[in-house]
Amino acid sequence: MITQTQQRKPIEYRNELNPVWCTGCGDYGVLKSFTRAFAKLGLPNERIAIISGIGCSSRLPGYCLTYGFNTIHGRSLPIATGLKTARSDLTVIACGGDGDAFAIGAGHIPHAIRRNPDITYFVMDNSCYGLTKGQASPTTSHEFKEMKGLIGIDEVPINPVLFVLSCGAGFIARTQSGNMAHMADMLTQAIQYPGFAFIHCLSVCVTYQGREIQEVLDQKCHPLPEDYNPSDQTQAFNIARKDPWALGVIYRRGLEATEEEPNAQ
Amino acid sequence: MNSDSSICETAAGALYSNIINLDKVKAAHKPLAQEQLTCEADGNTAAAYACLQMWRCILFAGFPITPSTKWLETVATMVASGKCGTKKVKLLEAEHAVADYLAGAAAACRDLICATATSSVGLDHMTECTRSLGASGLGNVLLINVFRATANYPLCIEGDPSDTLAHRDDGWIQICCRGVQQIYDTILQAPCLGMHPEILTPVMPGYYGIKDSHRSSRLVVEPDAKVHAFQDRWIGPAKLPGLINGDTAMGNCVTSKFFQGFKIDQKRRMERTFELLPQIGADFEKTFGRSGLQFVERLYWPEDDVVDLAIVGMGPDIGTAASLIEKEESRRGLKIGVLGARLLTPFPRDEYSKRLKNAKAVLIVNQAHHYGAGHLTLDVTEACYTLKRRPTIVSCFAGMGGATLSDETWQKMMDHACATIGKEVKRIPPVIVHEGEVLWQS
Repeated sequence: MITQTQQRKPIEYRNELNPVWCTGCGDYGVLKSFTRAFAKLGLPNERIAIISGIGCSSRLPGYCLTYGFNTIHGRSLPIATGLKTARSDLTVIACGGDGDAFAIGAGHIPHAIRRNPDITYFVMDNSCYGLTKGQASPTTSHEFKEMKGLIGIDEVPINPVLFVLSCGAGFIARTQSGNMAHMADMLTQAIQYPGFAFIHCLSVCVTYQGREIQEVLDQKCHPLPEDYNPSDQTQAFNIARKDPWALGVIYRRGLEATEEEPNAQ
Repeated sequence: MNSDSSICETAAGALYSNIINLDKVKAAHKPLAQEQLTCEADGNTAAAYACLQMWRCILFAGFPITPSTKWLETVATMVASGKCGTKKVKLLEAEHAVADYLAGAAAACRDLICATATSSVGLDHMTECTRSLGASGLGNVLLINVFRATANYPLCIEGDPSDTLAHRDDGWIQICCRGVQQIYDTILQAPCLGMHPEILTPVMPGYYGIKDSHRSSRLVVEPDAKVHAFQDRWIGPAKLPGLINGDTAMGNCVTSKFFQGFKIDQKRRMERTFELLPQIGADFEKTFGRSGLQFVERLYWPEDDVVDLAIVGMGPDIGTAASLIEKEESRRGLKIGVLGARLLTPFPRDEYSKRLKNAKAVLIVNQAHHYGAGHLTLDVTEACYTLKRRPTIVSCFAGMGGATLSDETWQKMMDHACATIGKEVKRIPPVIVHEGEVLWQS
């Protein structure tokens, strides 16, 4: 369980590097939400490890004044799991994009979920491979592929929330990169959840999707219904199947993390 | 050794308290052997025992693949029985996940050894991470490679070193073992080399699948306390608490301006092996009374290094060759010597130059498929290149896919090499020999 240790400011979690993301990229907002969440929780910098894969969004650990790993394509989860096993005292966050998570790294998600280490997996889903100039990813919609003439038009996109819910994840939230306060809140709750926590962050690639996408997100996204019960898995499945724009904690199961540390600390 | 309250300085100059209490980790270790024991064991079991006896080795990860599976089974069984203290075994979803998991764990605590064993395609699956690990400075990752013909068609579960030789450029220290005792002894010494502060390079000890992994023989198991005393002489607490920014190449992204600097540093650390390996080997021999790490094993070799024919090979089959030499020497009227390769990467060229400087011909036996003259041949030939009187290099392939090297095969290969002695030969094309017959000639 995370306990607040001291009053911190978000800027204390940023290093001197300037991000090389495109102007307007959703990843800026995510970075700010990370530092806000860390400050809110008062986490000591040296007790945080952010592990990413490869891609635009995977640059995020490089801009944080924390421990960090910009690893290899799709492998953030096994590396984060090994790290958490060796150092259970660290707050471990894996992050990356939709390609990293649901293409090359998808095979690790069910196994991380069933092992249930106390880590947070934050996926910035802009539905394209931005770093390699906008190819379709596993979450790119039929409509978008058709509009942009991308290959793979006959391939059905993955539904990330349904996927992780089906795998048995204990904490699932959805947020969007244009709403920093919401992202920070979801991340704070995910870090505090004692087990594997998944955050699906709808994000924007301004270069290969267009700036208007952020407006689309702002218009379509909405909070979960007021009477929504996140501990009800049936409701969670309904939301996962039918409402791709609902933001908030979609599912939360009361379950302790099952990974424990091996040494005699 | 207690680092609980120590403060470590990172490369960036920040001070962090060290988290891992090594005293507690050591105290939690339960010894496998209180005193020296003798038992029957196969190579995988010997390798597992060696790992379980190291107090620093508390995290094991794996994915089963023949013929390395028994290492994982043995480790898991012993840990589950509670006989080994608080060690942990993790079965991952694939070999690449194993390598990644070890990278994360090893990076988070550089004082602890994270171990696995694999073979063939398993090692190939790990490639994406082994190359990063090779450059990472994470010498506390121990990967035992049980040699098996690599992923080239057709699939073959028997042992040849094509898997390990395909990974010679991954940046790992690679050591070949033969026989159960040498496997055990080598694994005990491997972290002393890899975790040495001047080397910080992961180590990949290896042995032949089936021929050594599954063959049982007498094994002397040393007392855990003696193993710990030996290892503690070479492995000190890591200067840094463990990762991440600034103290490892793993996870860094650099431009060409810095890339070459990383590679030079990697080479520099790797080359320290040449100085430290014999020292660790000598300390092992003094401590345990058996040969420690060496560049090459002189199986049948004169003190003065004067031979007509030198035979260079690796693994258990080179032992068969050594057993034939006395008879072959008198039959052929030649002085013949046999060297077994031990250190594969970095390749100890100076040692080979020194040993082969008087040889008239060198027969190099390659057991891994190669489209050129053979992996071992290329390295040994390069080592002989600067000799004043270069020996004729005769390259043979035999035992690929774990095929038996019969006495007739050895004799045929020696016939092939001896025919060149005293003749002006520019180039001898490599041949494939099996059951005393030349199956193929380049």
